[in-house]
Amino acid sequence: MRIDCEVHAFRREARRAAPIIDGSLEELDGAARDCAITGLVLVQPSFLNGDPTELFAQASQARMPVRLIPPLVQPLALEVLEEWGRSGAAGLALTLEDPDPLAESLEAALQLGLHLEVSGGVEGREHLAELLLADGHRLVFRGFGLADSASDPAWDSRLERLLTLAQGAEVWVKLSGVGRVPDGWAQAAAGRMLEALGPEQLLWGSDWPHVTAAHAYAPSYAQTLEWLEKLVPDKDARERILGETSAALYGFRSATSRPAPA
Amino acid sequence: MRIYSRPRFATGRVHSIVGLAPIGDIMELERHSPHAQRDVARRAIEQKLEERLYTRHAAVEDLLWLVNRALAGALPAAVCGEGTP
Repeated sequence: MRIDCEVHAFRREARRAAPIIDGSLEELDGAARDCAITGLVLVQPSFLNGDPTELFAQASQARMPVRLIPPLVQPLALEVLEEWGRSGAAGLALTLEDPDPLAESLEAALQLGLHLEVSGGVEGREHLAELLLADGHRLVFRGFGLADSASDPAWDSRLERLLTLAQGAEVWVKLSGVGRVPDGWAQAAAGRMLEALGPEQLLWGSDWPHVTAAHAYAPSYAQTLEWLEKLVPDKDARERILGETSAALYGFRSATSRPAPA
Repeated sequence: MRIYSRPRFATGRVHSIVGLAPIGDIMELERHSPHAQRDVARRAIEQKLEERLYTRHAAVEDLLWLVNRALAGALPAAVCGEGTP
C-alpha cells in the first residue's frame, strides 16, 4: 500500500476565492491512482474553516481507502468525536495557538485513539507538546513541523528542538508543503529528519490539489511525488514512508508496503 | 489569569527608562503583546496536564509501595523456611 497523508477534497462550489477549481475526490482519486497511490488521508483544507461537513461528504464518495483528519477548532463532545471516528476519522487537525478551551476534547480524543495533527509549527509550544506526549497523545506535525522555512536547517535551533522532542516519542513529521517551501530548504530539512528520526517517523503529503499556487493544480500530482524522491533519494526509505509508516499510523488494513510499478 | 498584580504595575509606572517610556507602560504593553497572551493561554492546559501526570505518578508510586510491602512480608517467611512443606 502507498499512502498520501495529506490531500484536500472539496466541491468546486465550496470554493469562494480564486482559483475556483474542482477538488472532488473523483479528480483526486484518478491523479493518485496514476501514480500508484492506493490510500488517501483527507485533511480539512483551511479555506473550509472549522466545518467538516464537506470533508465527510467527499469521503463518502471515495473509491480507494481513505482516512479523515477533521478540524478541532472548538470544544466538541465525546459523542461527536466518537461519531467522527466511526465515519473514518483517524485524527484531529489543530493548532497549539489557543488550546485551553480544547482540553476536554483532547482528553476525549485520547480515549478514542484519535491522534493530533498540529499545524503552524511546534516552536514555543515544546513544553505543551511534551505534556501531551506524556499524557499518551500521538502527535503529527504538518509542514515539516515548523512555522516557516526562514532559517537554514543546518543551524535552525527550532528544528533541533523538534527533533529532540520527536526522537523515540510518538511523533511523526509530515514532509509536505511542495511549492510553499524552497526545494533546497526542504531537501536539507528532510535530510536532517531522516538522519535523526528515520523513515519510521516521517510521512508524506502531496497537499493536492494546490489552491494557493499561482496556477490551479500546479504542481501536478506526479510532480509532488518527484519532489518526495528528491527529499528522500533512498528508495527503501521512501517506500517505508509511503507504506508501512503511514499504514500503521492511520490504521489502513494492509500495513505491508508494495513497491511501485517500474 | 493575571500574572502581575496591579500594585506592581502602579509602582513601576512612576519610573521611566530614558528615551523610551515609563516602565509600567512598557510592561503593560508587553503583557498585551501576542507573545505574552500565548503564554497566559498556555498555562491552564499545561497545568491540567501536569496535574493529571502527577496524579498518575502518585498512583503508580502507591501501587509500587503496596507491592513492595507485600513482598517484604512474604520474603522473611520464605527465608525462615516456614513456607516449605
